[in-house]
Amino acid sequence: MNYAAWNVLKRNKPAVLGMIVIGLLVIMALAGPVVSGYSYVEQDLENTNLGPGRDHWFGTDSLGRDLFTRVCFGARISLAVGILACIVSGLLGIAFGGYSGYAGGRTDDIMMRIVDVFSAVPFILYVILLMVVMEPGLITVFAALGITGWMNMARIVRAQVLSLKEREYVLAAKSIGAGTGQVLFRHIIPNTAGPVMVTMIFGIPEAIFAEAFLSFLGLGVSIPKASWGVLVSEGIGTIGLYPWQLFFPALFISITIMAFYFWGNGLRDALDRC
Amino acid sequence: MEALLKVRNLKKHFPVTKGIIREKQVGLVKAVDGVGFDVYKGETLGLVGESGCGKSTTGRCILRLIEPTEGEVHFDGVNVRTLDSRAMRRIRKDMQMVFQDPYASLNPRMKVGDIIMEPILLHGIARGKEARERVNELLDVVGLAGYHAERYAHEFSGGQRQRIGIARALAVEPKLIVCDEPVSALDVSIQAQVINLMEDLQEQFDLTFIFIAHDLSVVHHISDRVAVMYLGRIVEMAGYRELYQNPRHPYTKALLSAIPVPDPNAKKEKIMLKGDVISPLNPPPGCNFHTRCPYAVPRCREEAPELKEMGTGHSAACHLVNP
Repeated sequence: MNYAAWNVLKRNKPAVLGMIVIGLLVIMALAGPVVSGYSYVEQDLENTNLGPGRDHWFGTDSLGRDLFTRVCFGARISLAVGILACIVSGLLGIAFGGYSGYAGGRTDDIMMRIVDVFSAVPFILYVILLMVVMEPGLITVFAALGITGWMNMARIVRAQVLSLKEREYVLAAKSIGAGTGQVLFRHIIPNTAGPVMVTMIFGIPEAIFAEAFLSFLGLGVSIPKASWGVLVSEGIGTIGLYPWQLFFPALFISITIMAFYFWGNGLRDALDRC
Repeated sequence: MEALLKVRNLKKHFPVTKGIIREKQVGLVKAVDGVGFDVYKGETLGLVGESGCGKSTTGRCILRLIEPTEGEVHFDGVNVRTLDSRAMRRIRKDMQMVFQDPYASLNPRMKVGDIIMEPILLHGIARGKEARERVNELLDVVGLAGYHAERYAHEFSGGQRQRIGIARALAVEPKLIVCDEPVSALDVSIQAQVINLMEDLQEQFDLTFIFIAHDLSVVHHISDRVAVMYLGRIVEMAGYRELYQNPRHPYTKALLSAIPVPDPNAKKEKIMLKGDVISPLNPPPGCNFHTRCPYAVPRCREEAPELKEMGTGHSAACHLVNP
């Protein structure tokens, strides 16, 4: 990203707020469990289902575990899953879309029809299919997000490559004797950085939400580990009696997703203008 | 004198297709249609014509940046068209190109030093520190300074960018440089600087140029011989002095009469051409130029003229002119 784009981004208040919130969330995820003084697995059966208070900021759950610690621990898993899944599917999409656009012609037609077929199958159907062959857990979540996440990126990168490969500097690279790999990875892909970055950032909240959704259905990380989806799933059973057990994890999911969207929006505007 | 480059009957036809699943050919654009010429070592051949007459396509076909449909290109005794992609990459060391638009021909995400260094590393001419020194030398040769290597292309003006493009082409010490309208995108004052630079470099490095332009006055300045193209064919070719003083083909005459003279009282016969270049998609039979030619006779509508020798080193393709 260049200096001018950064200046535009800096003046976009929601985007800056989004970046600050994401920064705070990361700090919270790393430092939270240390600050609170509890462990996310430690049960305290004498203090179950406490409300928010001085000892337990967000209260405790039905086994007396500190909810603040669990939300912070959940943030680690949710953010890590979101960002990692996005990077993995992003790289896959860049390679696939980049090659498809660069090769062009029949190859491009076939590769893009494969993308169409993959994206025609609904997300939940992939999840059900994966459940048949895999155990619930982080790996399954990654597989589900990986299979579904890369198509969008592949389409965007392909479109970019199609327009970039006709530029004169690409022709110039060929004329000095650069091979396909050199042309693609040195001259074309780096110039798709703007749209790729924006797509990746928009992909993170989607991945976080998808992970929460899968965990909510019991396909995500297994207890006693906690992601936000697991916490929401636990909290929903007691929504009438102890609503804060649902409220806090749900609040963090919402804040995180909004923060990433604000940031992504700001970045897109900034890169569009510069 | 031995020709460095021989081009014979070069053709590039672009099919126009319709339909998604079963592509049907509905037409053929004959961008280059049987072009042939020789370029001798150390000379500059000017290639002029209106937009869309196929001069850039000719240049790109010679370097095989576009694959020609037909014809032969012999460079230094090697038939370029029979080379496989690896041998082709190697021969690119000897034939380079300078592009038209200095704003589009430099990668915006690379530093100038890296742009110039890329061909040096690709062809294994130098490495590391030595390569960096070579970049500095090249920047110096084209009139830029060593510290410019650390900057990005968008920090330069059009003329400076074109100098960077020239430095990139020079980096591999080529024998032939195809200059595809290298000054058309520049201000007139800068055009002269860049052309002078290219002339100096030609002398210094013993270069051979194919200089593509749509401006006869620019070509006049730099060329030893000039070929005039119209709709994919060469219509006249001669030494620059001969061509300017004694044009034979009506199209060349029209082009020359369009050069403005910096004298408000000068009276000269102006040949105004009617209409535009006809569409290269399915052109009419006969001479390509007959639709606009003020002297056209019935024969021109039926039979395409061959390029005929008009005198020493002067040839033209017109039924109406004879030696």
